[in-house]
Amino acid sequence: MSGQLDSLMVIFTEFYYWVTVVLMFLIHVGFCVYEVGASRRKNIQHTLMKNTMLIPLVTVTFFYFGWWIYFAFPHFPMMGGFLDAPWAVPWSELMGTHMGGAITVQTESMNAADHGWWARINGVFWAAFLLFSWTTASIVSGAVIERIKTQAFLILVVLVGSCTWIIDAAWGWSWNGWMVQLWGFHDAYASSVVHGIAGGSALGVLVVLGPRLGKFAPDGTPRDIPQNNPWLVTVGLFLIYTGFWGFYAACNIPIIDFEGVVMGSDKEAFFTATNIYLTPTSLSAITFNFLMSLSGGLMAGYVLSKGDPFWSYSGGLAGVITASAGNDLYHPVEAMVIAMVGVWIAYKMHHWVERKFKIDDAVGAVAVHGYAGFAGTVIAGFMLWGYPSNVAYEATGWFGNVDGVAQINPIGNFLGAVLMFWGLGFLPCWLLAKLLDGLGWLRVPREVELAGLDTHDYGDAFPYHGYRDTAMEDIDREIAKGQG
Amino acid sequence: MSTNVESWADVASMGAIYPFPGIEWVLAIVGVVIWLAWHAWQIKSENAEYDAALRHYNEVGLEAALDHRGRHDAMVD
Repeated sequence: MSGQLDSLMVIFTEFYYWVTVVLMFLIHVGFCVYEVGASRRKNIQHTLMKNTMLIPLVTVTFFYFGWWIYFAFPHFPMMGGFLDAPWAVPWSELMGTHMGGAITVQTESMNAADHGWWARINGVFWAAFLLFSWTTASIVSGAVIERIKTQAFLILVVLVGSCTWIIDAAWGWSWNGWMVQLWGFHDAYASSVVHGIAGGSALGVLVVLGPRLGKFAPDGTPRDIPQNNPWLVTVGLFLIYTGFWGFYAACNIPIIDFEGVVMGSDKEAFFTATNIYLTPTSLSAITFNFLMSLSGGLMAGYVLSKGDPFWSYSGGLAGVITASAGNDLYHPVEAMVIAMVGVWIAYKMHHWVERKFKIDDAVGAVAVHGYAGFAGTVIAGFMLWGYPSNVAYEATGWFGNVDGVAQINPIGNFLGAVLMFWGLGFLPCWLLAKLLDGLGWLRVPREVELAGLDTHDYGDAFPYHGYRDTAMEDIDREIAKGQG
Repeated sequence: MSTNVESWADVASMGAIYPFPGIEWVLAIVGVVIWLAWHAWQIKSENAEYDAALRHYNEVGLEAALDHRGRHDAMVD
């Protein structure tokens, strides 16, 4: 590093991403708390360990190939082959403690200044993306609780957390991704890039996995399986809200000379934050819009569920997720209204899909993340129609151009939402789940599920609290006798 | 010496400062082996656990397993 301003910018950026990582940890804490609260007492510890162990497995695999995919895949296959990413391969010196002085990695895509930059930023930037990976994989976790084998889940999360989501990020969530360059795709805070693909992935697994025993009565009517601790569920969702501050901040580049570095002009330097596409926004903008979309979501969730805590809190989350695609640019009131629309769609879709297709999404993850994310991406295509999608001037957009680059448009965003939910979400997970099912690795044995996943191994999670049967215990007994 | 660092006098010119620089390929292979071996162990262990539970439930009857819910001690392990 040389020059005081450059040095300060690099160290500020390093610290900024590090703080986002700490905050995003709370998302995973929230997911674990929420799933433990949502599962029945007989399954608590299995549920907790399933979601906890995705942390090391996604981390290790994201170190080995996830990070490289993000930088190598932006043009592949629509605009060319793999890009050179020497700082992101696991055998690079820059994937370790490095001062940036001795230049050991130098290619056409990386000069001495880049070397110094990556030496400082690589670890924190990697970790910020890694925490998105945990989130994406963890969204799947809640949907499949109480009957999936841990082994299957931990293989599926490697696919989702270190392969498919990061491919969609390379394509649609980087300044040079082909979806951005050709389709004008825009999803600044990851409505589809994280949430849509996670919802689609969860749905793909659920179709193969099937519902929990007793979820549907013999006539097909869905039963309400009571959560062991509804208050813990809401605390978990509150923690997820808190972690979302880090998620949003990590989607930005905190400081850059927009005129000089991004636009390449010789005008006076103009320092601003940008989104991941290098187009301008600010922390103030996303703070306004995060809080207004959270509020809209909470209000809509409360109205739709008549004050049910689980769906009101989930509404807050779904509201943020719906507005996220355009929360870099929306007016706060637009963000609030869009959030309300998304929550209505997610709530109605969840119950319709459950009744119609007998899909047992235990925590509404497909709805809150998948349907809301999909809807938000499509809405952003209309709301932001005409903005330049990027500043890179690498290709001509298919669905209209402005200022020399692809413009944001409804077709591009709709196609992107479909590709992420169905193409990169549902399909790969459905195929892998079919394979795992064929191997006998997907679902726990029927008897183990009925007795509870903790019963044979962990024992009860609350040894000093009496056990009280609910209607579901009676249903378990009927199923055990072949009558449920 | 395990490291190429003998002084902090000229830190601006330094590159990698972790021990044993130059063996990154070996470390990459070690990590992949650990990752895959962990999956293999976990799959084997979890399936053995379910097999043991099924054997036990067949012996004592599923009703007994259902009655065991809420007990601190694990039924099989």
